[in-house]
Amino acid sequence: MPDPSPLTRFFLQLAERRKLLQSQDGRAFATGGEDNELISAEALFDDLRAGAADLQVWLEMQGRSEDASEIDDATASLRETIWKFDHDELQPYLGPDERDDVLSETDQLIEALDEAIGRLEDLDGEIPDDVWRGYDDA
Amino acid sequence: MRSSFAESLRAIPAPGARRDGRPMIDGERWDRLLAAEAEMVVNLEIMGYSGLAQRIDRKFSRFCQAVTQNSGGESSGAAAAFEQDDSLTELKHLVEATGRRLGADPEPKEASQREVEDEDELPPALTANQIIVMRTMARFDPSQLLSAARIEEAIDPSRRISVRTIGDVVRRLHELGYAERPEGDRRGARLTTRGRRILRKIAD
Repeated sequence: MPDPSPLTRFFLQLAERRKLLQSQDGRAFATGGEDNELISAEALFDDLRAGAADLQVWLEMQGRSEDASEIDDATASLRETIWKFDHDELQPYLGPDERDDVLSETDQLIEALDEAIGRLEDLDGEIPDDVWRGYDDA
Repeated sequence: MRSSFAESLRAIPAPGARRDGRPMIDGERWDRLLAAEAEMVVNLEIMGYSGLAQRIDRKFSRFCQAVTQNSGGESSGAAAAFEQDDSLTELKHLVEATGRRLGADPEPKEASQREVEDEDELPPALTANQIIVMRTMARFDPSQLLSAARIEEAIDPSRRISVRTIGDVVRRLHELGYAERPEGDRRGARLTTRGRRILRKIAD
């Protein structure tokens, strides 16, 4: 089985954060470090922003600007939701279907993660493996 | 080691450290930032990374527009504040990533070297030792200058090459334009962008 591509590894990392959020139901932001300090959503995802930037740079270097743009676009909504989460700009709301539960702030963050993961997964399927040759060399 | 542009960006206070919703960027700092950005973008264009240059330039334009919108002295709306914070953070990460991949201050090569560097150029007939040394050097950050001893330490133990041989190899790579000694003959070497590109063409 071939090694996962850097893009696969990236959206799997997003999936891990999703699992963390879901399992702790928002408490991920209530505890952190030795003294249970409040940590921000931005802090939780900052390393992944660096990863997304590196993927974009690599794809641009390979002449694949559209793919680089798709990574940027795919993570844009997530970045905005993260910012709103940290700045108390998210409000719980009722889903479009009358049978839906109220979507908490954490639910909205998970929803944004799901959207990003889905788009990145689709993109990964369209990029040939040889585009990533040498990515991990430097 | 960070590029001039990366350093200028890092000098901008992080989101949340501002007063009245405005970043504390004085006129002189703005001038340095604009000059550093222009230099990086032009160099990337000359190096053939037009897409990357345009990406960085678009992010920077977005940041500048957001700062202009927020600079009216009144408290900014959430959308405007997000634009400023997000565009700055994205720009920092993009420039840092570019520095890691292409060196702290990517610079175009001399015209004669660029003429030789045709995309259809066949990989050269490198010796096994040259390939081993190049692969070892490629594992280090482009900003690091490596001595022959340092390269020798990092080479896979199953493929031992003497320090003296490594020195000869690095000299030959330098002649081929695949390695450089940016701080003189006694300060270590690193692969050039061309060297890294040629390495990628070499089949395993």
